[in-house]
Amino acid sequence: MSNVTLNHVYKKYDQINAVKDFHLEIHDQEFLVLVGPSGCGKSTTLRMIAGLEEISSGDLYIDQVRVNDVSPKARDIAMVFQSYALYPHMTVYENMSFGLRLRKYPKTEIDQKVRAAASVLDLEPFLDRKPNALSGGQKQRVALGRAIVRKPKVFLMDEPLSNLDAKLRVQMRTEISRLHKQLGATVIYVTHDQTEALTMGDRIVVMKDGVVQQVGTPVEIYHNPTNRFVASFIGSPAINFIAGQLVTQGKQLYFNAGYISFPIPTGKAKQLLEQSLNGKEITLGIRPEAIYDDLAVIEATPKQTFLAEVEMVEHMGAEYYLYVRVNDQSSLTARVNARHHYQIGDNVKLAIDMNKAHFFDRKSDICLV
Amino acid sequence: MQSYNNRWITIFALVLGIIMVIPIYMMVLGSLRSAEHVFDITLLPTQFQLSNYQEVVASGFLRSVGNSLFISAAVTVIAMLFHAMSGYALARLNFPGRKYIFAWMLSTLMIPLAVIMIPLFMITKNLGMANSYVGLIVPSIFNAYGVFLFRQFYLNFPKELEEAAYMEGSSIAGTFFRIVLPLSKSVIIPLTVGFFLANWNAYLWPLIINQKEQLWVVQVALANAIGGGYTIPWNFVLAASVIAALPTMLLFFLLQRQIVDGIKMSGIK
Ligand SMILES: Nc1ncnc2c1ncn2[C@@H]1O[C@H](COP(=O)(O)OP(=O)(O)OP(=O)(O)O)[C@@H](O)[C@H]1O
Ligand SMILES: [Mg+2]
Repeated sequence: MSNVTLNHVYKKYDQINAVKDFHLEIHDQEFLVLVGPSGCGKSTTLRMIAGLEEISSGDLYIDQVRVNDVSPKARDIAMVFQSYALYPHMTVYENMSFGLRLRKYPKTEIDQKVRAAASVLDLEPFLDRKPNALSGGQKQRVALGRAIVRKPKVFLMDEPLSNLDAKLRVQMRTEISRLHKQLGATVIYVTHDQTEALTMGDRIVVMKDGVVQQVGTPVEIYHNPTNRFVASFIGSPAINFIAGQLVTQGKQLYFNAGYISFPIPTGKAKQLLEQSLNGKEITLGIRPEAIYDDLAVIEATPKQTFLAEVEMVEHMGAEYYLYVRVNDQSSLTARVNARHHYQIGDNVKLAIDMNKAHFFDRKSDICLV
Repeated sequence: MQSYNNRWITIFALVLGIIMVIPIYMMVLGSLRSAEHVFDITLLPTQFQLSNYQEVVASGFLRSVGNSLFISAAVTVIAMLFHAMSGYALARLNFPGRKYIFAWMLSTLMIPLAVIMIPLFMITKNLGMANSYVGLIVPSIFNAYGVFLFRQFYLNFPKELEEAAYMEGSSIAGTFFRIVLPLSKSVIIPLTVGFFLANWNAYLWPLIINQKEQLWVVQVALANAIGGGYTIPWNFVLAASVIAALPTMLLFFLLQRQIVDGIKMSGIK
């Protein structure tokens, strides 16, 4: 068992609150991802868990034991740094065995553990090399190896893949996920890359300005963002926002932006009306994949279509990212199958799937439905 | 234009070099001559007698060479260790008054040895360290310049290496000795050279703190050879000087590159 609990944790530097009221229980064997823009307090949170940074207020528990005042070495945690932090004067073998040697393990046991970890990570050929003689990906694996030999309770990783090229990053992503399952370890993983968060995390914590915005599974975070920030930070290409108003015509509730007007499906309309939001200024959020160019969809939902002008096309292989402008008022991104060939300046008819729309309060940015 | 500049710089450097080398060359020539011919001005060796050197060895001068080697080495090794530790503490550890202690250490750079010579002598003597290796070694260990260089180096030292060690279970001291110190070669080597040479060339302090002939250091022994009688045995003195200069030159030729790096480093930081 190794769960980590943060009880209303704060970190204050002289002037600023780097982390505010971080309150979360991280389960045993969970892969938890902290994600957010630069400076939002991810590293600070991780470093408080590691014991490298003091906790200004609140409590930190590892396995129900309060560890606020326990030194890093007594917390039984391993950390993988963005810069790898390999000791340049030691060989790979010495780097990986450092912690075990400090703990005075018998030589044979150290050897066995290091070789086992090296074989898991394909590092056997490099054991006698110094870090300078390794590629970035190999260094990264040594850093992981150094963390896993000790079999600690918790692994902390601070943007471990950000120094790798795109292809290697994808490869290491699966490798870390595999390691996590193999070791049955609790992992707390920091990244600013929402793709990493979505693909690796059991749960994701989205942070902004030191405040946790939302905690949830990748599916929850993606499909039910609690506010506009989470909706825009998670997902690529980013979600579209259209400012408008809720209006009723007859019995139907519409989203009306003046130049476009879409009927809101009954379920969502009911929820909005229950909050007595009729007439309210709101922001519609719609993900690029919920905008279609298929004729079949357009014909099936004629009331949810609109005309737009193509500004740019990004060819992604199997699909296109279509950047369009609607009535010179708003820019939208649509993610469509690479079937038609679009030119800049083309006028296209697109349909929006209102069942997948999110509605945000214009002032508070909170997701209403 | 470029090559024109370079040529004049080369010529200038060459002239400077010759000016520097001539006295050393004259010293070597003189040390190989008999007493009457010591001051003959010639470009090439006229005599080649090693008797001066035999005489120097017979006089027990080598004992002072041994003393200097021992004292300089001891001061250097101890100083490197302590300077590295205090530089590290000043750069990394948070303790009250850290800034003031550092400023106070730096301020000692502005005080010449001559000014504190008498009080230093009295303290050392009252501690019972006069006329001993301890008295020759201990007061020479502290040097603000060394502490300063180490501190600057550690301010730029990658902190994550230390943090990684802490996470692995290392203590502060363990991290310092296992990780930080082995990675400090680029400060340690030039400082070692500088310290060794400075102590090798030290004269004033060894002269006043010690009265015993068997604890004479090289420079004191040399001065005594000059100042002994009515006539100065220049051929003898020159031979002794050559011996005294040998370790210095050896060190320079061996560590030329690191010394230059060290000068560059102290110039930049
Ligand atoms: N030692 C410090 N003193 C003062 N402020 C600090 C210190 N360390 C971090 N901060 C501030 O705390 C905030 C959070 O920093 P943190 O390093 O946790 O961000 P982050 O989310 O990891 O960002 P990044 O993605 O850029 O690594 C930032 O505003 C930063 O400037
Ligand atoms: Mg960070």
